Amino acid sequence: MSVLYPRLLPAETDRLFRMLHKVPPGAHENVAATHSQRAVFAASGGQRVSRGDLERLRRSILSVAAEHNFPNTPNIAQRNEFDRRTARVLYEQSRMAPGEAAQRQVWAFLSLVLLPDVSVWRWPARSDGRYVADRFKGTDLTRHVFARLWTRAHVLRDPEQEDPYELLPVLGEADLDHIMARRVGLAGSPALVRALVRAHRDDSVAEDGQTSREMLRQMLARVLRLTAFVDVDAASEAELVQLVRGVRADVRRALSS
Amino acid sequence: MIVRAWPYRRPQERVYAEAWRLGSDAMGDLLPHGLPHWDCNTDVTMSRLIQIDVNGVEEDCGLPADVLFRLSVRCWPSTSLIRRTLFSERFRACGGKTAVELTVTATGEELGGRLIVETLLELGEQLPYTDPFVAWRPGSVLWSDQVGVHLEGAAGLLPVAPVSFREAGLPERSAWYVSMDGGDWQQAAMGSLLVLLNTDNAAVRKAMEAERTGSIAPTPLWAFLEVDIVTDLVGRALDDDAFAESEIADGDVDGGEELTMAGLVRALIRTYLARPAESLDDSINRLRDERRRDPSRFRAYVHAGIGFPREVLT
Repeated sequence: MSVLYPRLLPAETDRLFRMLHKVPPGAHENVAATHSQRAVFAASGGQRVSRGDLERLRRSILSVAAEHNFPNTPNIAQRNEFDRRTARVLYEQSRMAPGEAAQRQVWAFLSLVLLPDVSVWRWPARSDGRYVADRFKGTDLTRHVFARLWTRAHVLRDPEQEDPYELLPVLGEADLDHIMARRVGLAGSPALVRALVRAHRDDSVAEDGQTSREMLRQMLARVLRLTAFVDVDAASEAELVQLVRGVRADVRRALSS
Repeated sequence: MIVRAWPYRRPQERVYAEAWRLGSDAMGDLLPHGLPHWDCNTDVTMSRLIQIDVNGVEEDCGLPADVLFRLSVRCWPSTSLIRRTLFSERFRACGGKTAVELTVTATGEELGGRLIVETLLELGEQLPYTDPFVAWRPGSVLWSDQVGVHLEGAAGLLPVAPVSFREAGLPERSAWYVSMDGGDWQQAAMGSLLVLLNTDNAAVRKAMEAERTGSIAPTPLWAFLEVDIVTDLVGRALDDDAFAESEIADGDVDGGEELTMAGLVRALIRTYLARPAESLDDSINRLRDERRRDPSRFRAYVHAGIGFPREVLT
């Protein structure tokens, strides 16, 4: 049975986001909670997550954060490693069904009620003292502090592999964002994304001044054009590998010429 | 309007697809526009018959005889946009025409919002590239059609949550609260709107029980709620200059993309408030003027459009 998570009401999401700015740095732990009176569950369709499960999820993510310099300012490597580890923890431990994970108010609850301290640590305020709303409110699930990690784990996870999450560390933040933001053409097809990431991992050597990132960007642009008239969803894994390798070879030739 | 220019020839009226039916019986009830009793524990099974004039497709598309085709069905919810292939089978022309009875099931816990189901006839194998206007890549889409089913949170189906108003800090004796995000009309309607039903209110509890079991006479409460939602949502949009700007930017409501708040308001105006032969822009301008001049008259238009109080009378 699916696990249902609390959905933070929109007005409360706005209020708590405004409140974030009033809490002194380092004190956001004091406003963390496993319950909000302004959060509701879906009327039916699953089992409501218990406060104990929410507390355990909070502790797990806090523990990952602590290993990566929480509550002190993390460097880029620590942030990236936190994201990879948390994606896995969140996906495994939350047992959230894809339908529930597509509810942005669920993510607003996680960032603003359950884990505000970790959220502001991972996405601190800008130089003007403002937090970026997308990272907290769930207005864009590909940018939310936790929703984007769950989605990455969901799309990149391959249960056939010894380590189902082996593809999570392959791409950096910017490159993964580049794929996940193209939800309709690319990220909507997990098998295609896995084929793209594998191809990049197995053939990422730069040649003739071609940067690895440029190769990836060009490959994504070409595959995106193909998906306008080619159905990649029904393709077998072997067909996808062949398609992606072919496109990658074309890109390499184009960049060399 | 978007017109897709295909890089290869496609068949003309060679695929005859019957409408999707709900359940596994291809002669059963037609797939409705919405499934009001759906929740994420409910899988959606549907079926249809398809006849393909395979030789005709080969001829129209310039494909060689006995080429391999693939028939597939994929679906995705408007919420996650993650696609799932529900059916896929390769076949060759055998006797010129082929008929297939498709039965597919979409898993409930992967769904939400609006479910889009697409049936595709594709090239099933790679061909040598000989003619620039003939499909050669495996998976090249030769024919397709799409249907959409509202499961929750779009058009007339809004997300509803029962909640104790006493615990939620809302007025204890009220019946419901239509919770809306303000300001950004380009936000997805799904998630921006939530109708909270007060479980502390005995009449609401009774009406919810009647809805759940279908065992008690219909209640007028839901008709009142419908009026409240349309009046609040459309009224708020008409009062907001940002909505006027969003009217141009908003996409097609039925385009398969996530429905925005602006799209939902426009759909409500088209459904309930537009006059015959009146354009949407004219309806919006008329209603905006009417609301500024006389809000009560605007509410009367909503009553008239919805047919309120039809449930009270039945």
